[in-house]
Amino acid sequence: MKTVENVKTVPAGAITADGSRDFTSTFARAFTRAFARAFALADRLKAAHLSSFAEDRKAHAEALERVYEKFTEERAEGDLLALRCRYLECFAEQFPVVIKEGETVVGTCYHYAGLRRPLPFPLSNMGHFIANFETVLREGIAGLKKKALALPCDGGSVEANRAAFLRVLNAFSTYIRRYAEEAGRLSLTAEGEDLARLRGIRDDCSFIAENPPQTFRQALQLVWFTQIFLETEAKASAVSFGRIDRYLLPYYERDIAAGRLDEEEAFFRILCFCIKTCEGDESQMITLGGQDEEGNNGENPLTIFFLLAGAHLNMRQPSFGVRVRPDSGKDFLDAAAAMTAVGAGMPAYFNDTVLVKSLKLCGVADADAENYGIVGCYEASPQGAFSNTVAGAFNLYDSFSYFLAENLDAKFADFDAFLEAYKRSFESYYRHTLMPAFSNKLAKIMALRSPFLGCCLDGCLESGKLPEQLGSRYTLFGLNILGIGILVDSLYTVKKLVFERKETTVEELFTAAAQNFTDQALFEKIKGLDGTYGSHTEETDALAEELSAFIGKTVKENKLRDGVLVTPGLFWFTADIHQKNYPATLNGRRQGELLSYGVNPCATPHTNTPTLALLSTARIRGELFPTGCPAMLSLPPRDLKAGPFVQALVTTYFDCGGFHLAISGVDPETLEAAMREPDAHRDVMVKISGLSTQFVSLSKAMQESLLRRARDGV
Amino acid sequence: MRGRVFDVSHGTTKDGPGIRTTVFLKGCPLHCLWCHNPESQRREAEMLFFPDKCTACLRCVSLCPNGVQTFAEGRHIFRRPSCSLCGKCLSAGCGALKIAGKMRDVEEVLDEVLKDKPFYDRTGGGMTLSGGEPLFQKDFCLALLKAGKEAGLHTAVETAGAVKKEALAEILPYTDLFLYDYKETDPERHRLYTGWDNRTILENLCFLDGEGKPLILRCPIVPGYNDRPDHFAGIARTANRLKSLIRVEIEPYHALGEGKYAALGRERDDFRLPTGEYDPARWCREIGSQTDAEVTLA
Ligand code: SF4
Ligand code: SF4
Repeated sequence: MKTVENVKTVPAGAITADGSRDFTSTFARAFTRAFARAFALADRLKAAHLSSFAEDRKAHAEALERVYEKFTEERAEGDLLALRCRYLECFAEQFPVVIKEGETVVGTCYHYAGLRRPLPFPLSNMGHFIANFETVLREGIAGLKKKALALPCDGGSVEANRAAFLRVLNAFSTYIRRYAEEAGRLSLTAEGEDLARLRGIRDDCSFIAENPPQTFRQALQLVWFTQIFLETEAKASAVSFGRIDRYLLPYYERDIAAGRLDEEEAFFRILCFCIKTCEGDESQMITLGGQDEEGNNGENPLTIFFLLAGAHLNMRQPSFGVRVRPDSGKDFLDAAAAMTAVGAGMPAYFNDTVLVKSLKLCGVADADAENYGIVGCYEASPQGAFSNTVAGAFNLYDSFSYFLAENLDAKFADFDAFLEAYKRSFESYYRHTLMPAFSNKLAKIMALRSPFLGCCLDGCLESGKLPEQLGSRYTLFGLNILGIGILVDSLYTVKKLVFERKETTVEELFTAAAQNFTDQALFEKIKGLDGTYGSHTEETDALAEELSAFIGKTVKENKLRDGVLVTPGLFWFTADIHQKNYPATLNGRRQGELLSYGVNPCATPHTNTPTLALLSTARIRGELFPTGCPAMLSLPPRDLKAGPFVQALVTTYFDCGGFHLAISGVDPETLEAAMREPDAHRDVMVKISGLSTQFVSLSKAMQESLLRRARDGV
Repeated sequence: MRGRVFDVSHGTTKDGPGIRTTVFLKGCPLHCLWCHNPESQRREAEMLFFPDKCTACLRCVSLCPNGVQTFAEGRHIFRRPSCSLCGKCLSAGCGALKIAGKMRDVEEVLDEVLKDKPFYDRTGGGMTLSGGEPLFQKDFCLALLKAGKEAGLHTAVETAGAVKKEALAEILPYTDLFLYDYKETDPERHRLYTGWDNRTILENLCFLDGEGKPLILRCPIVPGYNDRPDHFAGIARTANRLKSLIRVEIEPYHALGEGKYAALGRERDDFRLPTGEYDPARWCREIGSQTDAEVTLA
């Protein structure tokens, strides 16, 4: 199956001829009609954003260079913490303040890509966390400062941190105040609607520069400012928003009740907010849906607004994740399906039951687990925790190669004995090879300093410790584990060919793989195996279940350090499945071919259709892997736009225990790429006359014909 | 009980309600000029060879015990008549060679279908038998349907209706839905396009309708052949007469099957690729305007 990251979008406009049955578009259209004005205004902002994007980036880069210069000029000295504070101060004072035409949510973010010069001191944290926005909004800058001021002056690290917290909060305040001033300046020459808009910005910014926000607009604006500062400090991606539809809800409800706000205005601001996020870094995940404080279904109008805003805009940011519950509402699922129909692989669907359980099993308190948000792409985390969800990583198959190399002439009575021996070997490999590497990585993380993040996490302002001093209520160490699909199939190959059919030996298999399967006869035997992982066959399904349980257990048994929760996930970044030089693997994957992604089956012709693949991957023990068990599906446009079909896939998968599902479209470009490089695209599936078929196995004429269909819709 | 199956497709959504698995049975009494699954027509297994997918790796040459796969002057020559369909060359795994049609047990097929049970339960889906003409292997078809019903599945049969009424009567109790092909209104043209006259087909349709079986009428529309107002009117008239009709589905012609004729080593029947106006939405509207029945694009 295709992964989301490299699938471009299918044009959203194409609607099937019988509009009446195309329910997602009907839903979206009804919405579009109701909020026509908001959409029109947002479209203009989007167009302006897109047309000036490149230029803005350049200007921002130059502005940031000036911040650096200023920073270096002063020959700022001191420890890392002081440097970090000074840098944020320079940013707050120097970085240009720009309010563009028609903007209602303001604040310029710059995500460092393309910068000519590295930061003049070590980077800060690695991103991949969710601030506790609820607290930030409730306290406002003043409240956060008050907490910092309450810290004791102990003459030691707490006092130093106290000073740092106050410095960055003051810097934050300065930055916001500059927006109030700029809006005030612009308003002097503005008229009519524009004048009202600028005065609004001026008043809101000058209020939240100190006080906790009182209105929906102010709250939304403060969330964005906070994001800018977190990204500026982090210089890393996946700074995520958490449950925005929950923490903004009280403000929204209060404003609506007081008549200060109407639905369309709220929706418009959300559209503006989403457009703003496009100035930020990758994977700014927004989590929607899930339970409220009482444990009931917490979906609300904001949930729907965000989904439909994202579906309509279809821009590179933010990312969207939806928490699907057994009692998820129809509006919620319909809005999610409307976004899926766009074809960009959003939203990511999450099985609430499994994710909550996974965090509880890792040692997160019940209430925090239930209130989880998604970090980055797939990673469940308490909000306001120092999550580090991509702290460590390894390729599962490495452990298997290691085991094979050590046991080439060992005799095993049967497959069970072989599997048992591999498990023992893995445990030792994990303990002696991987753990030291993780410890090193943790030490590196802990050497950094993130005072602003500390102000936004739970516990740092209370404990007086920085996130890197384990000051946060939760410190996670996310572990990304690649290649369960390859491992299952490799073990299955050994089981079948060596122990059951006795047609070869482990050594022969190992040698054949080392020679990249020049041994054609053996290669064909492997490729001819039925029942590989993803075909929903009990043997491989059970093996996947057993292995995932075993890996989860091993990770749990090996503590990294007191106060740090190791949270595993079965994925690594997409790029890592394209490892050109990764040697051939026993499942008949030659060097250069893709590794398996997430919990997906290997991309081989034996992979069956989506439904079967999902039923296989649902057997993975997701509750042991809070950092994620992503399953990727790509569907032809017609299925993608069929809301009930998409919902059926999601809900059935979750009934069966699946963790996550991303559904994207097969677009013409992917098909073209598959025609050029068939080997890299063995996973692209298409439907012809109802038959699901691997695209690259079709004749040229058919491929061309399908390409035409994908392009023209017929 | 064994029958010849040429594909089992999971996760289909076009062949009846919900998410389904469609089992394609080989063999068909008709041979529609525009058939896009020509490998479904003959009862016997057949080898498909796609020359454009052949990379001349020569693996099949050494794998074939019968000397069927040969090369002459760098060109791959597949000597079809000597092929015993043993399947040995398939392990070359090259994508240029495929055998359509495998004998399979009812139990084996049912197990395969039942794998997707959670999806059927969620969506009201089930198993659809298609072809070819599934009733061309009536006993196998019947046994599969019975087994499916016993396993609690929703069952659908896609038929062209060119079969004995008795055969339909026999499967009736085990079939929840018929997807019934309606290809051409004019009897003469029907014979010309499909090789059969449409009288039996229409009688059988009336018979099913009389039995109160839910029906979906499926109409392939091929520009230049049956995209005529009189046929559209005929579809609407038929739809108006049926009591158990759920809807009419229009299946616009697509050329995805064209390459398969050569792959099967067959001459294409005298069929001009449609060049006329291709406007499925208009076809739907035109038919829809003459009937109260729902008319949709398949
Ligand atoms: S095995 Fe396939 S690619 Fe190789 S020569 Fe035979 S048909 Fe061609
Ligand atoms: S099916 Fe058997 S006989 Fe026919 S070409 Fe292949 S190997 Fe030869």
